[in-house]
Amino acid sequence: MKKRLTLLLIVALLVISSFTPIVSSAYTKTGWRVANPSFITYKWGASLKSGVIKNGWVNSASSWRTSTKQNVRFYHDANSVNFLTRYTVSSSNLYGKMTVTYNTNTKRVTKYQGYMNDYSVKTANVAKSVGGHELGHALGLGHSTKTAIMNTSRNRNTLTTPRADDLNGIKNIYGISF
Amino acid sequence: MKSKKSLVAISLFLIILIGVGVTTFKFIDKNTESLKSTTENINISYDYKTAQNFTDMVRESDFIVLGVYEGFDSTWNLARDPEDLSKESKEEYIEGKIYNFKVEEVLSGDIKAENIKISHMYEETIVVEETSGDEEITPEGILVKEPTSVKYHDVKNIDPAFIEPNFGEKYIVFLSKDEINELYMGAIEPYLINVDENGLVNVQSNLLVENFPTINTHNLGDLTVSIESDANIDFEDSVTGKSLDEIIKQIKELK
Repeated sequence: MKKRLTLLLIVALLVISSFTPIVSSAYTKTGWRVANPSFITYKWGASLKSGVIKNGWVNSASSWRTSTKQNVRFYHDANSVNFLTRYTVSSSNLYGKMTVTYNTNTKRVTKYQGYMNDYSVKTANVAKSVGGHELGHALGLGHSTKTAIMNTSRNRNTLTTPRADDLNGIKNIYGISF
Repeated sequence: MKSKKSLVAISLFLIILIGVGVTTFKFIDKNTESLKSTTENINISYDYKTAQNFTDMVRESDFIVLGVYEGFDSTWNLARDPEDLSKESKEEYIEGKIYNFKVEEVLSGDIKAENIKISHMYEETIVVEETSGDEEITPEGILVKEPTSVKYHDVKNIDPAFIEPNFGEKYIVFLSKDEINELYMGAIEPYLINVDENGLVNVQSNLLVENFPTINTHNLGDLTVSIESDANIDFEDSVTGKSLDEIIKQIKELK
């Protein structure tokens, strides 16, 4: 009788736990992933010069590396098929875009191209925030409604690094813990 | 005894058969996947400045006007030369549609003109590469061997936030200004509030409708490309359904 009760209790606990989310999250996933998050390459776009935008990309890549305790690392390689760059679009409400090409069967990223709009990205903090957001897309994160680098309503002057919600998304996509 | 032996033999045979079947299926599936691997999707995710509520719309705008979209004026290239914003980019083409807007009341900002031109981002031309397929790229994205040949295709992709205004109808528009090109543009998303014939307002933005990503498929000869445009917004709409007078009062209080 005691054994049956214990067994029943274990089954009940398992059923309950399967319906209870471990982490409350708002991150969304795009469905794709890079082959190896700790070794992602990029090169600079042909029109990108030294300045706010380039530093923004460097600082945002660095912030992903630090926030994920080295589990996400971007490396510059002149032969990379991926590039990070700038463009000038007369639109003050557009900060940037990330174009990701992925294989529909394997869901692996085959190429990504990140753009920051230098018409609206003028300061170091905004550049870092926009860079972090775009690289998040390359990693497989969609937009979020929480306090997150992936939230499009974030204050780009103050929210410049990946937050807990973003990191939970990365942990979930790649099955890693840090 | 004999039947027991037969049962064991049949069971073993079945187990082997299932094992061989599963292995064969996996092998075929793996090879089919590698054959299919030429299919690619392109996703474009945009980082727009978005408002969480009506207060954000008001505070992030340099100008707020009430008036009427009178009609289409012209198109222009929103992609500009970074050295001289009065010139268009030679590398990119992002089409904007310019509309004539008759100002009835300036609710915020300094606008003297009775008629202004408002630019709506409309369509981006994306260059898609079609390679011969014999290139070698490492999983990390390093190009080891160039493809023998590359074809370039121009694909047009409508901006996910684009809204064509209804001509003759009244709107409140939340704007910023391109001073060099003398054009006004949406300051934030959403930036349009339509006023109906009963004087009730309605916030308008494609990003409020949960139908993203939008997917457009283009057939480019041997290559089929699906372009997904992804953008969304978490907006608490506290104004739709209210009266125009009430909204004007709110705007003046917030500014």
